[in-house]
Amino acid sequence: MPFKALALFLVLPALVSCGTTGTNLLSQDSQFDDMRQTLQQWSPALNSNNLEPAAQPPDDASLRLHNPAQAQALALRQSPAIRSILASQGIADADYRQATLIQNPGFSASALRAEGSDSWKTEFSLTLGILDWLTLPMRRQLAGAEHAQARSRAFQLLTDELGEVRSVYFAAVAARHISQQHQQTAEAARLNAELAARLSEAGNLSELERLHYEDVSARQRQAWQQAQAEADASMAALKRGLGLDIAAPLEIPDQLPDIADSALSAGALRTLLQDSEQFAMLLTRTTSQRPDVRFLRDNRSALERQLQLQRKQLGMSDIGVGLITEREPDGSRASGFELDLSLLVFDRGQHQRASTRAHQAQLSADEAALELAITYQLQTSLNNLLSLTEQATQLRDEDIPRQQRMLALTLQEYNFMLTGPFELIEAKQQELDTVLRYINTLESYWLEHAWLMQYTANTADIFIASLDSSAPPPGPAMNPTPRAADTHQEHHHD
Amino acid sequence: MINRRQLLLGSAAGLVSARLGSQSASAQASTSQATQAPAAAATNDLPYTPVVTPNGRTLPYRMRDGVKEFHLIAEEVDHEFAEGTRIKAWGYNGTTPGPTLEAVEGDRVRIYVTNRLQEPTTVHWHGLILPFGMDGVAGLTQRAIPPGESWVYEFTLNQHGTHMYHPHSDEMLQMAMGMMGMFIIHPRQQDSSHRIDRDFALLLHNWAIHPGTYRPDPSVMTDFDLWTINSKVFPAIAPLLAQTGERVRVRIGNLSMMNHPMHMHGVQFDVTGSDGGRWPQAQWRKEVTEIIGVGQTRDLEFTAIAGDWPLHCHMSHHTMNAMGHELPVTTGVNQGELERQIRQMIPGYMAMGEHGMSEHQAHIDAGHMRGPENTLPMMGGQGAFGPMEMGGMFTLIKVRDQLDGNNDPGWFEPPQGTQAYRVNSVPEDVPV
Repeated sequence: MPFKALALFLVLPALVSCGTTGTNLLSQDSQFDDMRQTLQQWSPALNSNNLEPAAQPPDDASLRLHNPAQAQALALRQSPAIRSILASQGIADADYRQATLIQNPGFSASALRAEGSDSWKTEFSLTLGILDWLTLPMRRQLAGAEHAQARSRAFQLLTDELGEVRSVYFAAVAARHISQQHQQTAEAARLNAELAARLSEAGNLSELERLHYEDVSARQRQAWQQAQAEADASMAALKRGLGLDIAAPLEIPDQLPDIADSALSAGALRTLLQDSEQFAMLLTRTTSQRPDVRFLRDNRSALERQLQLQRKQLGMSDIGVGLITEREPDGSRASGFELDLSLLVFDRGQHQRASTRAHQAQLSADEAALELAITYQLQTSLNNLLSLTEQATQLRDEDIPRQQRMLALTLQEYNFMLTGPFELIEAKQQELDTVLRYINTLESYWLEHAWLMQYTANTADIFIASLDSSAPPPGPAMNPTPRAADTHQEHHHD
Repeated sequence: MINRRQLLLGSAAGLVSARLGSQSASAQASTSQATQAPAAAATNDLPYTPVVTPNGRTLPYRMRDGVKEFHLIAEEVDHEFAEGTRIKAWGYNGTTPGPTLEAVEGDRVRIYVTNRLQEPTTVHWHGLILPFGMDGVAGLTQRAIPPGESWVYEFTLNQHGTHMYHPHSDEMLQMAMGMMGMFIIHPRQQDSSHRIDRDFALLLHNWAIHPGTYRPDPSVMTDFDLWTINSKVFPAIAPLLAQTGERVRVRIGNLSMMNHPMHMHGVQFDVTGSDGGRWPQAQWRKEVTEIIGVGQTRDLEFTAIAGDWPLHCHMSHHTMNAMGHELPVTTGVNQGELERQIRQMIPGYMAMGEHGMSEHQAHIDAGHMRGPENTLPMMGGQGAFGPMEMGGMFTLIKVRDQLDGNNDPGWFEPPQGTQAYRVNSVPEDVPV
């Protein structure tokens, strides 16, 4: 069934990024054989037949989404926007079928009676559009090209929608992660303020100093409240993207995945940015898979066919042949053929063809402009990812451990009464601030990653991962990575 | 560590015992010994009682053509203030303070100075009356001694008294690094009415050894970390040993950046002299605390009474080791549940100081509060009856009826009925 096949065609590339589709889905229509082979080569997970991670939960249980792939799978099932896109393909399918049909033959009948006569003159004719017959193969090709355009457009919309789901998913996880970090920072500030209050009550701290700590605590609490609100808003955006009821219980991870879980290693990104051949290969893959490029190419192809059709039509909008038979009032009969055509006196179709050729030129220019934009956007995105990878790695491997070491040393100084409890707690706050910077960097990274996946029609991670054999397999693993949040404290209590 | 024999050899006039050029064992010689200061009584060979420098030594000399020849070597030294804190200091002949120079009024001295530092230096003979060109002020009285060179100072000692020596070239840094020493000049005519049985030389100094570091910070002007006697802190300062009834002189010099009211327990001492020499007896005064000003010396004399008597600076922060100066006051603050909450966020946190700081030493001694590396706890020292909670410029004068040579006699046991004791109740009619 064409609609079903199209839906699969649209869904599968999105599922490549999830790595969560099954072979049964890929084998439904032979017209996707080439894509199936490519997808299976890219993602062994396609054979794992595990499309159901986001299966509808029992009524009394929360829906748990462990990774963006599950979110995308759920969106495919639930999202009205995606259903609308898929439904639009039903229209396109019908239009395509319609366009491939031959026009029905025309039949006409007339009866005339002369004044004062009892007899009728009758006339019957049967006509069939010759041009329609003659150009049928061409028209079918044209309809196919237009259908492919529609499919590409739908694929673009679907890719955008699924990419948006991926981004919104990461944004929601990041917002939760950030909110939790703000909570800890606010708690540290609260402890400082509480300590200041105790000291003030004992007469050891001035009101001015106490208010200072109170003020800091209040501001940190507000920051946390704001982070909470942003987390709630992000969750609502995710639910909306998934097509869930606003009250539907939904669980997502508390922490973003670590940078090490990404298939895009810094080494591979660096290689890609420095090796023009590799970059060109990625560009080729991207342009071959991007729906908008395909749309333009399909459009150009359709225009070419349209031009061929226009040439074959010789500027005639229609040529009709007919069979005609007449019965005269005296009972005699006359039968014959009829030809109906427009004379190519004024409109010979030359401007129509010129318009088509201009459209072709415009599409060529648009395609070149798009490819140029993709080149720059791709390079910018890869640069951003490399920079974010390096920043996150430095924060995780150097900055956070340094802050943890500083906290441990501050505790040692506190133990020897070389520094006070406020400074000790502030050292903890410094560590928390650094972890927050790490989370913000992770968020930027995963959003950029999601954007890149969307922009390259899910080809980037597989290609880039192939440049680094040590990189983890492509796929959005969502294993919370506590490494950055781990703290090593010296225990002084026996 | 120098022994009695070496000390006598080095101090005995006319005994050529030390080869000129006998230098410190090593440029990195350690001064980690925290042993008892050897006591030396006057002998028939000497017109004076040789001075003892706790944790230090007296520099040997040799006689050449009637001139006492000494050799000081300015160099970097590996110094330990007490177990647990070592630094790269600068000193003389392998130690900080440098060895004590000891001579007699009227002596002609020739002092070779070798500079093994990487920067120029001089030696200023603090308080000595000498020719202008021997005063050791870089750029003023001489060109500074370049690294690797040896220079000679030679002059006649026209005075007696307790004096000091130190650099006068990049003075702030070189003194902060530990370059200083005592220069004792005995009077040619001894005071036979107050013959000294024990003579000790103590040099006060301050150090900015920030927690976790290994080199003094010369830029610090007030907030020092360590306060030392002969570059040691309690409990690593060797006690001053004496026998009951002996006349003891404690010479104290101050080359730190602050005045120090040095307080002695158990006696009223006579302040008998300074860098101006031994005072006429009419000028002596009885004190229990004497302020030793910056750049000054004082001689404190007393008759020893049995006991373990503290001698310390009475600025109480100077009897502490490294401590924070801007800590919030936690006395009277019950952190209660808050302590648990903070510990939840910062494992290892412990509320301190609610009832005072005394608990600090208990925690440290128990070993469950680790401090920064190369840093001494603020207070320490165990006495016969518990923690002494001291540090810095604090030491003991241990007096016994009979000493066993220079061996530490252990803790003094108060005779029965002479020690504070616990009561179950206080009579109600005692006014309060």
